[in-house]
Amino acid sequence: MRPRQPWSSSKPKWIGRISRGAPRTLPSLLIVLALLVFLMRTDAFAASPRLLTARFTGGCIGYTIAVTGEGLRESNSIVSYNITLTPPTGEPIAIVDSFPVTPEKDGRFHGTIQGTWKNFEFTLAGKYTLSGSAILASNLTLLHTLPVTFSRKNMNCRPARSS
Amino acid sequence: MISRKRLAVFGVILGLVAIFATVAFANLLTGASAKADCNGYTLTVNAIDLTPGTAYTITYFFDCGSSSQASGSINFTATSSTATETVPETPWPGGPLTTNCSLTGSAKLTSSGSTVAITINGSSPATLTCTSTGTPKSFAIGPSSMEGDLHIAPGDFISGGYNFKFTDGSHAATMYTVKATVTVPVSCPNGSTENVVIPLGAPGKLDGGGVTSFTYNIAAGDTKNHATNDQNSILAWEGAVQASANLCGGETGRNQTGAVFNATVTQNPHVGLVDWQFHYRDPNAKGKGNVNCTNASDPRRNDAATCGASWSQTVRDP
Repeated sequence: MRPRQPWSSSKPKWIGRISRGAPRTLPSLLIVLALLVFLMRTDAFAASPRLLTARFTGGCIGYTIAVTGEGLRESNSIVSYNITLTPPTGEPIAIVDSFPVTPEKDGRFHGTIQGTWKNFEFTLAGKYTLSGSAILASNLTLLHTLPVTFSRKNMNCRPARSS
Repeated sequence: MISRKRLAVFGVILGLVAIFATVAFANLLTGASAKADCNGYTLTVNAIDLTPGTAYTITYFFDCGSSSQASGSINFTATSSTATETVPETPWPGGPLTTNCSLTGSAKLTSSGSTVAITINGSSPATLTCTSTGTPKSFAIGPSSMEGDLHIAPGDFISGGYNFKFTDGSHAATMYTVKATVTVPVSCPNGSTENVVIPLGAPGKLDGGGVTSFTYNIAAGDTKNHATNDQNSILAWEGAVQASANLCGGETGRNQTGAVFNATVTQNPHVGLVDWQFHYRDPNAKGKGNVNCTNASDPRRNDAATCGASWSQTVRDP
């Protein structure tokens, strides 16, 4: 018996079944398709609100936090960030601040904030290891948290000169 | 002796000086008064000896030290020999004043140079007591996992609390309103995550006193911890909830990531930086019984091993 070739031109049986049932099956397929399109348009499949990136750049004077995210529909949303500077010895320095974010039509959002350590009445002197988290929240509801990524995890800040 | 001729010339000169002097001061401002507050001002200026049908301009100026200045002008055509011109309520150009100031002002009729000081709220200068009005600010702390790996069962009481203190003793008095929650994410056996949210209200009251915000009267220079930084005191707890019987479909879930403190705070007026800490406790998950740490009638809550919970690290909020 000759083995069947995968590139054979003969139609598989299931194609024949669909062809025979086409008059009845097609409307059902169209309804399902329309339902899918409707659900997609009504955001039934929308991503849940979340931060995609939260990036820290900066140094001994100031810093910039830039975030991106998706799936945001909630109003009055904020991104709050916690940054901790841990010295080799002694108490860590930790700050928290926030900024509002507004979603675009597709739910994506982005935001950037600049700050200085002086705003928090801290003057950096010595070595620090940085860590932190960014939190997406809306009206006291926690939506998502994400660790902050740092352009450099360690900083070495000179003591301030006495005048 | 002065001759009659010289005396006549002197007399003519004196007469001319008198005539010109009268012309120069023909239009006069007789007074200006203003009502002013932190938001703006109204001004009334009185003039006399005007020529009907003549156009005049009054310029005015307010000075509030270095913090704010305002100026403007009134253009009018005299309909009689006197006029009372007013500037309707006008906001300060830089927005509401946010600091106390000693407000002075002057008005000038440009045609004659006649100038008067503006009487403001009945005096000059006038003291305006202005402070920045508090605007709500939101922030979140965490996730912080002071409690370690918790196995949270349906029905567990979970309590939450915070303390704060102003960092600098040089601040003015303020009303500090705190609306906050602690969220404890619970990982369920089926892989889903359910959040237990603890609304925080009044310190030391059962379930936060049933309120979701609390206002602290902060005295000037106060750097104490509010309500307390004693991690076992009932005042260190501002709220508690009982995990739903349907938590994780009735199964015990787990929290390893810690909790998140969400807060919206308002300083009225804004006076300074604040250091914050929060904590949470599920005594049952620690094998200490199912205790509500805000329940003063439950003697178990006074046990430090039951309701004493470590604070998160101190985080500074601007």
